[in-house]
Amino acid sequence: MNGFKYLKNGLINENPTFVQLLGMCPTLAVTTSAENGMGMGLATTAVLIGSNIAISLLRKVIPDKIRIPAFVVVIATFVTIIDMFMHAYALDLYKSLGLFIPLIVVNCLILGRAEAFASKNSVGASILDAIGMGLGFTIALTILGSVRELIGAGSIFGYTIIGGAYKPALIMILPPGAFIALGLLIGLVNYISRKKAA
Amino acid sequence: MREIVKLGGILFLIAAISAGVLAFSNDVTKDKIIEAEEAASSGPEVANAVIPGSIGFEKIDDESLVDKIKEKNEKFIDLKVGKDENGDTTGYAIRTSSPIKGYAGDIEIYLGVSLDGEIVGMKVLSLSETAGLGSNVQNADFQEQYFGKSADMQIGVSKGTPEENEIVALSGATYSSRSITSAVNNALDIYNEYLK
Amino acid sequence: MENRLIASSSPHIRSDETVSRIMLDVIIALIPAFIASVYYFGLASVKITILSVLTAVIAEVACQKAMKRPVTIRDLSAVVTGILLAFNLPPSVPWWIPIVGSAFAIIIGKQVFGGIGHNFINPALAGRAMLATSWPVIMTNWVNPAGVDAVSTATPLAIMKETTASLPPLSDLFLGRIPGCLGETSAILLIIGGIYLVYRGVITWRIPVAYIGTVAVISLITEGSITGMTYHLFAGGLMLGAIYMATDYSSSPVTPKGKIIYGIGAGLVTMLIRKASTLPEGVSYSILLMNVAAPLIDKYTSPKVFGGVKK
Repeated sequence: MNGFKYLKNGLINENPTFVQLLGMCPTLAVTTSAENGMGMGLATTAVLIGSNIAISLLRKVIPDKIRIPAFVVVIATFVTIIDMFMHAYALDLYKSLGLFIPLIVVNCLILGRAEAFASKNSVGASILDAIGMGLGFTIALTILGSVRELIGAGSIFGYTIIGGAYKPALIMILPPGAFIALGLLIGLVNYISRKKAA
Repeated sequence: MREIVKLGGILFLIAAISAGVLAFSNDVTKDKIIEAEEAASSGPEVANAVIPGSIGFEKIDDESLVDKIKEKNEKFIDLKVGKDENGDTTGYAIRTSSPIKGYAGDIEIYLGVSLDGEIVGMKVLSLSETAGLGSNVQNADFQEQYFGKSADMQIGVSKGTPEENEIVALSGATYSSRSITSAVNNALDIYNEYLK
Repeated sequence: MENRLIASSSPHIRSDETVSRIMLDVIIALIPAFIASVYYFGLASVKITILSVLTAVIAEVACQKAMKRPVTIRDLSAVVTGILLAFNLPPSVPWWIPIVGSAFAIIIGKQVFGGIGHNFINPALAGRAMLATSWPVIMTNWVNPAGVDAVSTATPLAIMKETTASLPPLSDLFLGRIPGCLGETSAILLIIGGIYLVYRGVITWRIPVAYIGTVAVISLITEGSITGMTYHLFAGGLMLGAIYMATDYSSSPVTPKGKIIYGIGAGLVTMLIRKASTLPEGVSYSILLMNVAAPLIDKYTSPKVFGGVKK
């Protein structure tokens, strides 16, 4: 596969959120606004790129028997670094995302890519895969966050879009709304991809 | 046996290098973190919101007072004085959490009391109330109800027309309204007992 | 040649029950309560009910056409959902609430999952839960009956929970002269409708009796008096919920034992929410929770099948 294919794979064909359904916990929990969704997506992407590079570099060195603990140590290190930097340079986002930043460690997406791709491919390919998957995740979360914020608060990225008499449907920024919105979006994606395949 | 040593050794190496990288990152970010947290809880905007006219907070002259209050009042967190650009004291900033729980936990606020015993401002520092409902206690029009009230009375929460020492609860968010009022009252208690 | 033998496949005996006949019976059973709601809450009641029913029917047609399924509005199930949703709304809600709620109930609560018979929760309750979560202030704005001004008052359950204000007399509760949702206020008329439904064979006594009985027993213990128990029985949506909403066929258990367990469970959860949570009323959430548990209940109360080959 050439480089572009890796990117497209992560963005569309194997989109972590809409196709693979990986990382559902942070997806549902933090997408209460477009900004939070995008922030989480970018933080996860940063970790993904870092861990994919590190694991790909070490793939000949890490014995098969201990690959999982090794992967987890590497991933946890990157998550902690991102956590510290967000605390220092993006305090508002850090506070909004709260507990879910350290939880990136257990996001199946990252361990999944480490196991399925980075441990078996070159560094260059791993970087592209990480960018593709990470961007796919980020775009998915941003879309979900925007939908929820728009219907649940009348704004996107904090800019009021529907104001005045619109009474926002609070359910959308609460957990039930997350499930409903995500379900409908996945349904939409399935419908579109089926039409394309036909 | 040799294999276990080899496996353990590699894992040890990975963990050690990770630890080193983390220690380095920690060094790089630790001061900036303290700076950011300080700004969030006592930067110029916060100071002005809590005591209008202030540009910052400073420790109170009698520092042992803070510990004294902490011993007696378990919801109390900190006490600062506001300073304006000339360095004059503008009022007291009392940081406390709420004795009455909100819908989903305690609410932590800074309450600004002027030197003549009037509530002049407030800022919510932490709350976990429902978004769009209880979290609206952070809105200006809700908080303005407290401003101008004298510090020598306890404030009550009313659902209809408020008396002079009452504020109107947020529609649909009675628990949150009661909780934040209890924090205000706790701050007023502290003012009346230690600062008047 | 009158004695010709007819050859055909089963079934050979058919009843004249159709879905529309059953739904029509439910509508008839709800008419007394509807008349009471118009008497107590005026034109608002008519407006909300009509909007809700119309939206339900239109939503069902639109959905079925879009999903290329046969249009089944003639079975009147959408009409029943519309009426039940309207009965779960306070009379002071703006026009768009029944529309949004009804559309959600039909589209997401019913059609997305496969249409009638496939819904795993009661569609009207799904609509109501969604409305209550989205617009909590609007959905809890109660008015006194036969009052034109929307003076915010508290329902009897809310009074019992939060304040020490005086409760309306029991006679008011029985007749329906209390603040509340459109269809939940008049207990006696709802019970009459319920008896009609049992007589017609549309519902069995098991779920309502188990549900109401459990609430009676628990409230007797927690309130310590017959009066307290009676308030719990007649205030809130218990009658409406136990008789008309918990008994929805596809979301409740099939087995007789299962129905009783389901009713008891709903009663337990209702009292738990009413007494131990911050909400004054728990009927809608408890029915939804039991809806989700219904398949499990069915699984464990299925009758033994005899005559199979031993594995």
